[in-house]
Amino acid sequence: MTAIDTNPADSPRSFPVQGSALDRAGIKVPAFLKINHILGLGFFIGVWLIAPAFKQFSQVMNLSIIYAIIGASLIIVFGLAGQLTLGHTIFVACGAFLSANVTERLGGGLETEIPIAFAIAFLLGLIVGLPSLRVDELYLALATFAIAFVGVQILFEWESFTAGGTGKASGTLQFFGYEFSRGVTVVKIGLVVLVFVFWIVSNLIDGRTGRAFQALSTSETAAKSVGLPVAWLKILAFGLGGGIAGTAGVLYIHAIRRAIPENFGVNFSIIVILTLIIGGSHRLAGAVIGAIFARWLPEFVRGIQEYEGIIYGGVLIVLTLFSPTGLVGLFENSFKWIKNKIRPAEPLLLEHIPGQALHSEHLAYLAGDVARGHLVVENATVTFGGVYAVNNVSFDIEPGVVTGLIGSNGAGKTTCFNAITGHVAIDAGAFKLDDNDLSGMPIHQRSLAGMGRTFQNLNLHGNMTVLDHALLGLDRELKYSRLSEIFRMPWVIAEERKSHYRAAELLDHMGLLENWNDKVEDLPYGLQKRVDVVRSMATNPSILLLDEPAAGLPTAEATEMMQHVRQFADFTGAAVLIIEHNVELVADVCDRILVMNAGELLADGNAETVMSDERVIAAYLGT
Amino acid sequence: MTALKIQDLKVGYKRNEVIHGIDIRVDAGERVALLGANGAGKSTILKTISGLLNPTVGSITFDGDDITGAKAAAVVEKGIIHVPEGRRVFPALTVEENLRVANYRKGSDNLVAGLNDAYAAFPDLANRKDQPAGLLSGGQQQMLSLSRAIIARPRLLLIDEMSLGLAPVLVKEFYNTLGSLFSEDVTLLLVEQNAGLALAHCSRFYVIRNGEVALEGNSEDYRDDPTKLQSAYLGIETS
Amino acid sequence: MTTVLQLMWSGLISGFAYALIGLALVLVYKTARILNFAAGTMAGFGGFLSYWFFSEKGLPWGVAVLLSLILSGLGTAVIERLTIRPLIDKGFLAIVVMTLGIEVFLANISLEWWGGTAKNFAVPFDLNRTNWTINLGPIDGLRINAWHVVIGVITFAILAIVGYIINRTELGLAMRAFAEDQDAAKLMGIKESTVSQVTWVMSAVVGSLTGILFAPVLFLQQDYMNIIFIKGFVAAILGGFTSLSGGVFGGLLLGELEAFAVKYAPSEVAAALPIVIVFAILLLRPRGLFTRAKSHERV
Repeated sequence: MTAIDTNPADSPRSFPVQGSALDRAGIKVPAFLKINHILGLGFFIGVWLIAPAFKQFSQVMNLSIIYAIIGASLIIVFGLAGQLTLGHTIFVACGAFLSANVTERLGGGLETEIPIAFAIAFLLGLIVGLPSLRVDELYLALATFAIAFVGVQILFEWESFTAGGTGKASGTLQFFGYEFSRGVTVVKIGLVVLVFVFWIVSNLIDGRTGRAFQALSTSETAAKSVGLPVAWLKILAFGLGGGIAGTAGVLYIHAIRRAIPENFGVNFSIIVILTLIIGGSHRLAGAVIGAIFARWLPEFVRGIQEYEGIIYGGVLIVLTLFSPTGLVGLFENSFKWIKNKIRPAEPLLLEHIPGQALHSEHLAYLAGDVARGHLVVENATVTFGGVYAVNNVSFDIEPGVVTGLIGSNGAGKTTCFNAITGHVAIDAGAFKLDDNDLSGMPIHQRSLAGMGRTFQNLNLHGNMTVLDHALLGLDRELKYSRLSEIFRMPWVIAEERKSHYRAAELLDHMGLLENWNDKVEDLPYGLQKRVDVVRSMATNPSILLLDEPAAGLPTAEATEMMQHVRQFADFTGAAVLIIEHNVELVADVCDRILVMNAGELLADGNAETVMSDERVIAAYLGT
Repeated sequence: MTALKIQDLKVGYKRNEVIHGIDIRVDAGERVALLGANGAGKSTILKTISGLLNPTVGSITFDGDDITGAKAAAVVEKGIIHVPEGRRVFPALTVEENLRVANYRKGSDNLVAGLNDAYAAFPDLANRKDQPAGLLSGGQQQMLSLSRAIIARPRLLLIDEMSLGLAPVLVKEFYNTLGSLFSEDVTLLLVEQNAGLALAHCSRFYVIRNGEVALEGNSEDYRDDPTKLQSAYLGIETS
Repeated sequence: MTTVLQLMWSGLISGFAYALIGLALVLVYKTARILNFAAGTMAGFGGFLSYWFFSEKGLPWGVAVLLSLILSGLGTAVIERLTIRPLIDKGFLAIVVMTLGIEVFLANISLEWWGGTAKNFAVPFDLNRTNWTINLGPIDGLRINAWHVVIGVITFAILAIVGYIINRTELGLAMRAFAEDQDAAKLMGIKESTVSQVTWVMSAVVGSLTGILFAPVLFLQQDYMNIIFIKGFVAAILGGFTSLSGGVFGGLLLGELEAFAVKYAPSEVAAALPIVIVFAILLLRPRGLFTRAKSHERV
């Protein structure tokens, strides 16, 4: 049995005083403004300044601005949260008609129109988001598509609200009584709203909610397993996206002066989402580029105006085949390619001293004097169609100890594991963690109760960085509300900083610091496995359940990873439960081994006793 | 004469290499077993031969033809038939429809003969030929799966874990009838977790562990005491 | 009594449209797990092509129809090969976006070639202008349009032919097997490319035929098949999106419900009917109304 250095404090190494992991790796600390903000603001100020010189393009600019705002709202629902919505313009319609009715009946100006439009469209969005809880992406696309089409019909028939075929005229454009003249002013107002919306969406993208949205779009299971309230987040995404689109609707009716329900149907819905896809749905710049493409192309290339739609469709087809990240993605990749040719990127080289990170002040909060993770499994039974996958299994996992669960194929260990974490429903039995009864708890609540897990197929969030994954795990430690997040209050920044420092130390502990900024889909398998582990480590679990941590790794690499896990568990006092096929590794790393066969517990003891047990050997050889 | 030759085969899912360079040889008419604990990579090897997976490195030749990286349909045409793990019958199709699928593009004469053979071997299936295959018991589904292989007239038959989830008595029966179901010139490569059974019915074996060949040998040397294989299976020395 | 029958008849006819498009959509989804958002536009394209061959090129009506069906089939085969097949492993979203792109592309080509004004789609013997009145016993003054009868007959024929292909041919068996378990089907020697092509072409031809049948009814104009397309979706949903016959029955049911709702319910309600149905099904019974709980599910 290889000696594992389990207690860093006793290690003969002395730890030279070094900066925090975050500083060593050169990770930027979260701030109020980023370079993108400055550039963006500069761009829009520039547009503001030159707008009067291009009066004849005012309407085109208006529409571009509106499309960009709608694009930003779709970035929330579609770009981040990954929900394909084909009925988004119903919210724009909502905002437009609310604007007309509010000015008509309440006599107010933008100061009433915009908040009301946002609020009602937000609520409508929450409702529209409900199907996303029950159905997969296919049906969601269908449901939203149906909403787009039929929504228009309903609006058409709702004479008192929309005046049917004649539609509603926009009210006067005013703000707290001050009336604006038409013309360039409308563009300027639009720009103000756009800057505000972009700022809000940008804050979301950089904050916990944006991260949570991205996580749930790539792997709902994993998101739940780190304790994120996935259901609520999905609905919220629709609500926010709807609200912002409603705001765009107010601007829309003021720009085109009269709105009829027909304008907001399926075609418009499809166009706005395609516009964002063409621009690039992962960046706010994509919303701008898409809008410019959609609205300015026919202007500049007058001769081909009739072919506009064909070009649109053609560009989309080509982009889908060759550059799925849209035009923004195309620019980004070309830029990176050029930059690499001029000055090839040098990989970050950092020293990794095992166990050092745990001594950092940033991880002091994790130190646990009391062993925890006492998992009690009582009479667990799981059947699939009459077959007992897990048959009345009971065992106690000791706090602070590393336990292995092994068994040949069909033994039931994976099912048992998934029953503990809540991924599989049980027919009978109970689970308790440190005296908390987990029965009936959904996955994310079990995570919040202290259960962390990794996955056989990793379930990583491909387009998110390694650092993001650690930040996801740390989400529960963040002490700010989503409302504060939208406005990037000072305490939001302070909490994000704290989280970044902690995340960097955790990455350092697992030997991932050099790759902090890499997208996990670009990493080799061994590193990906470690990301899976660090994500659940970050949740500071009382018990860390590892699902085949050695699968696909050479035994040496797997053992090294397990050493890191072991050090962490000892530091925090957590328990560890591993299921594995690799008996070698388990014998090496675990204090205690449980063997399952045919749905029942076969043996229980330390490595030596268990591996000499004849019944265990017979079970493995199938004899 | 070598029927199947696999050389330095490496297979990976995305960036994860699962098979780390193996060499396997099966001679014409031979029966060879791939043994090993679960997760060792045995099914992956079969799937790479039958074309469901592509190797990253290495070569697979059958009867002198290079079939490395060939698509599944092309591999079937060469006469290599894979009976997959877990039976994989088409649940909504009837028993007879399942058998007809196996006859895809092989002509009506083959169908008539094949159905005859299948129903003769497994009267249980004949009695249920219009039932949806999803309603059959595990054992009956295995019969169906094997019957599909019969109809496909394989030259090389790959069977993955025939014993999985079946009562031991049934499994013994299946293995005993293998001889009568397929003629002697059918080459057989089977994956089996039950070492004893595999050794009893195959002349040679390979033990796969962690994606590599841990041990290669003749069955007769191990038939009397399969536990001699345990360290190859588990990778550790036990007392 | 007559009113009820009249409503039932008109509901049946629109039901046929929804059923056929529903069938086309389920065909593609079953085998390829793809949502074809371009189906409505493709169906309309068939109508426009026929019109062009007949009214502008002067070909005999039957030849015009046949030619447009062949072109639809070939065109779809090309589209499938070039734009859909490369995306097979790229996920649901990529392919949906692709079909949306195709939809925009085709819709605008159609607009470019044939313009936005409605056209009169002439049919042999002016059947769409021929109405028969039935007076038989309690039935008094039931008006039946001759072309509607043709629609009914052709629809039955299409359903019968598709049913035959799917259920009684080796190819259909291969398609069904592939829809159940792709890997197992491949191990039987079935090629993914073959199944994909045949499915799409079949779906496109059914769609085009529907576009041709309903052009005289809806008047040939830009996006005229879009409404049918959306209701075809609802029909497919009623069939749980996996059952061909479920999609067909769903379409008929929707047609009937709609006919009665329009007559007897306030217009907002009638307009909202499809959405109510969609939401109800999605929230209460996602596998659709016409599929049994899978009795053939493996244990």
